[in-house]
Amino acid sequence: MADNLLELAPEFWLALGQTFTMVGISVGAAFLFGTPLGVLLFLTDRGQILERITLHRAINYLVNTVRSLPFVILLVAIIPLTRLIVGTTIGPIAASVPLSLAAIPFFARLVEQSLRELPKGVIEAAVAMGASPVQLVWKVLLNEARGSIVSALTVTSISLLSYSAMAGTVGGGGIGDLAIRFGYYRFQTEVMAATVVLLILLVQLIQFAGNRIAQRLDKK
Amino acid sequence: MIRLENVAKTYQTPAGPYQALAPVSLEVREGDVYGIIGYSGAGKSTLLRIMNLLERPTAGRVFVEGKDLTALSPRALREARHAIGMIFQHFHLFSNRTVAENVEFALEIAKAEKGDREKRVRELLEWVGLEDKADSYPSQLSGGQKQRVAIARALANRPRILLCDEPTSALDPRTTQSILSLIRDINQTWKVTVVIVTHEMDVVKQLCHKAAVLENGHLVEELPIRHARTAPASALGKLLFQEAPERLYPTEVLNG
Ligand SMILES: Nc1ncnc2c1ncn2[C@@H]1O[C@H](COP(=O)(O)OP(=O)(O)OP(=O)(O)O)[C@@H](O)[C@H]1O
Ligand SMILES: [Mg+2]
Repeated sequence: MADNLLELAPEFWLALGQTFTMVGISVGAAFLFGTPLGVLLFLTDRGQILERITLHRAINYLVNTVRSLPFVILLVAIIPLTRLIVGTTIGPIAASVPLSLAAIPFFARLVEQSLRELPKGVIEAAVAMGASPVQLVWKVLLNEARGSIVSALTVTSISLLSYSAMAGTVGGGGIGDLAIRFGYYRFQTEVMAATVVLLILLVQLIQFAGNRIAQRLDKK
Repeated sequence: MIRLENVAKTYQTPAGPYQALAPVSLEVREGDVYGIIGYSGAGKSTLLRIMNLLERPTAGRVFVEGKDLTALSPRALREARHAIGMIFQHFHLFSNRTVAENVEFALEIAKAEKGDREKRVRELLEWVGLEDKADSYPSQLSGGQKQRVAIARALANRPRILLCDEPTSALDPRTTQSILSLIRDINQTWKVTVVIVTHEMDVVKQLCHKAAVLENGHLVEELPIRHARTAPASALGKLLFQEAPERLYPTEVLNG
């Protein structure tokens, strides 16, 4: 049984690399595109400095729609888009497309929530001093919410880790795919168990690191 | 210095329009400390916040140093706001910035040179007596210290006007005294015009040259405090200045 696992060590490394690729790309995309989306969602709402109710509703609707699709359906539904962007639908990079698409609105919503939790008066103080919208976003909103944005990033990473297992089974590779191929189809239960342990460790690690960084950043 | 012309504010609430401020005209003279007093919900904050357009009036015009703020472009309004400092009851400091960085913020957004900024921050912190706290975060300060930082931040760009919304309501009596004397200093030494909202009579008596009495969104009267000891005519004015104890509310209510 231990032999079995040892034999599969290269497979494990490969799978781990693929998982990191998928999670890394999609977390990056969530951060890069979800943050501005979340800020926009916040600032265009009623009573905020860029109040644009129609735009706010449109973004809100879009975010809700993407978030309401079950991930498996999203995965299949955007295959043409994936092919268009990456040129193939196989491999961890291709799998990162649906993962990113799911992650962006999810993270945007968390960013919006983080900003809503900031004391209104602090934003007002900055406006009273004559801060421009750009200054307000960079120097106040993102800076004051940085701890909870890191927490949001942690939550997103963990969700994506589990989504990536799903994406993996339809051609993305990664740890989830390994578990299915060996553990399920070939009845090698110990492989299944090992992947589960690995996932548990990864989640613990991400959560621990995320908490530490958030705590370090947050001076409240 | 500040002139309000028929300024009014009506909020749209789910229950229908609500008039927080009936049309009011008043003038705050250069160099004065102008008080705004009245019960909770009278519209004091609304009136104050109209003076830097944090709250846009639904009618009327707001002149600050001759400029009509309601007619300015967003950019020009931001520019004008650099010259109007503001402090609040709950301080509203940036919790992820140190004391020095909080003060520097005001200078950053006004695009001051880095070297000048540092010098000015040191000068201000020294002036409010917090030079040893420069690298602390707001969560490590007492209420009085926080308000001092807020004052330093509000004064960073050498504004000609300081707006104060109940700056001492969250402080104990002794700290209140030290903040009030700081505000008096600002007025006397630097000739900064001060508008101060309060419901503590002490504050008005100690500090103000003139005070507006607000009731249910109406300015019921304007009282000169130091210059001429005219007797208040309105019922509320009488209550506040003559028959009432030192404060509008019993101390327990204020502290509780
Ligand atoms: N954004 C708003 N929407 C609706 N009503 C509001 C809003 N802001 C204030 N009001 C109402 O306007 C009235 C005046 O409010 P304001 O904050 O000016 O009172 P205040 O005199 O400063 O009271 P306090 O001493 O409690 O601070 C209150 O009845 C308040 O409920
Ligand atoms: Mg108020």
